[in-house]
Amino acid sequence: MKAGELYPVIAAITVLALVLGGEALMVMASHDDFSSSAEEKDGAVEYSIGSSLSHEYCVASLDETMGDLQSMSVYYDPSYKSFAENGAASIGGRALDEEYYVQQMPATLKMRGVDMCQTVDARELEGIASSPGAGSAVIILSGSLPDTVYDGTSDSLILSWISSGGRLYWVGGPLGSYIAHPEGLEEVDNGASLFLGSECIGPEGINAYTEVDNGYRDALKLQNNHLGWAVDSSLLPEGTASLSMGYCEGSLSTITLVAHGEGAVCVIAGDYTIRQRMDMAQVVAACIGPETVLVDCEEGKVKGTSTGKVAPGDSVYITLGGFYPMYCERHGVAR
Amino acid sequence: MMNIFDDQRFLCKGMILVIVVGIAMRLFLGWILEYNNDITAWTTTMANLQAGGGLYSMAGYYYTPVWGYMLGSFGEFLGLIGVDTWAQVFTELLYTEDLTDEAAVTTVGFNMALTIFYLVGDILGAFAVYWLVKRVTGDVRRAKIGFAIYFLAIHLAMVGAVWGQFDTFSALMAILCICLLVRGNHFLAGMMFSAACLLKVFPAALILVLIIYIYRKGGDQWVRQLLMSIAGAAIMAGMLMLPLIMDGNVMDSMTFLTARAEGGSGDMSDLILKYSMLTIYPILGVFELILAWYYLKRYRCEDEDKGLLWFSLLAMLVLFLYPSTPQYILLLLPFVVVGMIVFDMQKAMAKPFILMVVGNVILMLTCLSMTTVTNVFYMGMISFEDWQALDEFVRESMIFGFSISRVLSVVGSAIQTAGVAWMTLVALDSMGTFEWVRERRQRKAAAQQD
Repeated sequence: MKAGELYPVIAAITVLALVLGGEALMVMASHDDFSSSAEEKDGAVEYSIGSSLSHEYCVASLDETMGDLQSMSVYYDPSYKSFAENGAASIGGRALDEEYYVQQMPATLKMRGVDMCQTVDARELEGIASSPGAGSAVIILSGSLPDTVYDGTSDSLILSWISSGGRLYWVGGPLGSYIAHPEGLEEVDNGASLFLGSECIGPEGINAYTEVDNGYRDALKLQNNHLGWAVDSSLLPEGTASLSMGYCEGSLSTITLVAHGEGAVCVIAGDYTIRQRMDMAQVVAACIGPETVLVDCEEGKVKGTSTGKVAPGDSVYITLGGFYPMYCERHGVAR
Repeated sequence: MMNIFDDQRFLCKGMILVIVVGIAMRLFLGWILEYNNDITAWTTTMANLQAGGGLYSMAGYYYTPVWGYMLGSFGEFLGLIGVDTWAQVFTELLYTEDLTDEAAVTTVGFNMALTIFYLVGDILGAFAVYWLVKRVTGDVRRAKIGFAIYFLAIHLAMVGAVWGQFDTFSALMAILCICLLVRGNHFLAGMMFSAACLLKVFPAALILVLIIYIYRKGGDQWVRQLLMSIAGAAIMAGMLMLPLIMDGNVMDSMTFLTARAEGGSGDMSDLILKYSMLTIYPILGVFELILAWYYLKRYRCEDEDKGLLWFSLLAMLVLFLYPSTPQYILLLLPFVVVGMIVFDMQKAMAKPFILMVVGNVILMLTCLSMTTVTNVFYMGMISFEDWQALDEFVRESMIFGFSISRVLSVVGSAIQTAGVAWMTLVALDSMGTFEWVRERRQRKAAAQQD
């Protein structure tokens, strides 16, 4: 039989191998396919990154971060009303509603080295907020807080939790403006002041077209440019520790971290989008706080193992893959 | 020109010229132009895959799984050849996202690698056309002409090299399925059919034709052959869907179909699109059934393989009577090329075929400004200011109150669909479908003379 007569069989096997080979790669892929380390040596931080495939990387040396995460929770309780509206779905895509957003957070954080993410309902959130906040983080995607932790006053459980060191990441609506009850939402006047010290939340539905010029956009590969309900840092009380990053329009920024006692509130602006989720995950995984300083940043390429040095801070955050990260890892640096 | 194909060797001068021109055309187009929209979804998908997140645990991939798996292979290819940066987000382009475009731009290395990836699909498809024509006609020269027409089809090259779409693999899998059936490899044909339908749903329109072919050609073996095909299809579908079944993501893999049926922003153009699809596709479905009935009950031929090619062509032509995007209609290409060559319809089909291709290319020009962004940001051949002027011109210039983009879209779609409709009429006419019209005209003419 001539080889030409076998062509359809050979071609079919080639195509099916391409498909099934890709499927096998998908099944076998994991966070452990990549590696990284960092340690202080001779006044610098030496890092090492390992990847069998060729990728770009970025190493951000950070100081005054909020320390290692001990617990990570995402609030979701369908029995309570939610302020947030669905994000726009791409054509042919699944609607990006709150449930879908919540479902994606564990995988999004796991690829950034945070693998302890749990989903909590209103009662469980109350339990978390009743404990000391140091090392603990909560993500709120609903744009509103349940009445188990927030009553619109300064005595709210969530506020004392943040003050004791908790990290609150906020998405989906004007911060502090709504208490969620099972039967509906209750509006709070001056809710933002309870968290941030002043009424400083911007309007919804606007976008930014300028980078915040402090290096974080490139260091963390930030992409979300939606400014809905962003923090207006010019309206924060004088002396408040805060850090803005990403994209901005005047004093409104896509990501703003504001100190609250020993803890911090981080507002990630805009409607639900893939880019917003990725940006939030970068800030969460890097343990960035309102007083964090970007000490140094180095970019390069790796295939096999790549090493380098950056100026020392208290940690380094490594992003592999540029704007399409497939591996990120934070390494605390002992000094 | 036809003399350069007269050599009986496959790699004669003519074929070498065709292959070189086809490859050069793709590499040039892929280097100079790249539409940055969907392919930045491919980069998100590959990153999620390599992170161990699979296809659906994080948003970014909305298709059925086959293309996702192929992206897994492609990502590996990128990493092995040293393409370390896939795309970057450019702040200067953020404003285009307010207009449904994309601020992320893939790199030249990525674009070229993707072009080469699609080139593999194109060339395998061209070989499949060659094989099929040669098998059915025994004529090497005609087979080479079929290869040349397919491989040099400008819209095939542009959909891959410029638009970054993967429909070449849909066309390849569908025509390979036909080749395998003709060859009697029913199990493998079933596997290929399953993969084709789980890549893009359109090849499913062939199912009745394929079953009827097996019935007609198989004789007393047709049940066994059909069961072999079904077994191949089922096993392949099982293998492809198994990871999704285990992760509970099966419905997520179907959102591309369900979201299109349900969704849209609710504005007038989306409503028209949604309701026209819901109205016209069932009508086309009825036509497909009539076609299948005719093939089963009324069609007489000596060569069942030719019958398969004929009715596959008709089934695909009917499917694409509904205006299609530039990439979907690639599925029609191998069937038209094979049909034209095998049934000696080059003259009759040439004009409508060219019309379809012209319409297809015009449709792809609607995103002209966004196809040049790689040039602006990585190659510097066009300054950002000049590009912005072009982009503003395309977006803001009006023709009778419509944007250039909208006009090109409507005109391109109309020309493309007219080409398909014309080819359908030519094909039906060659079956004698309109014979009664001619007889009536002749009777009228005769009556007038009397």
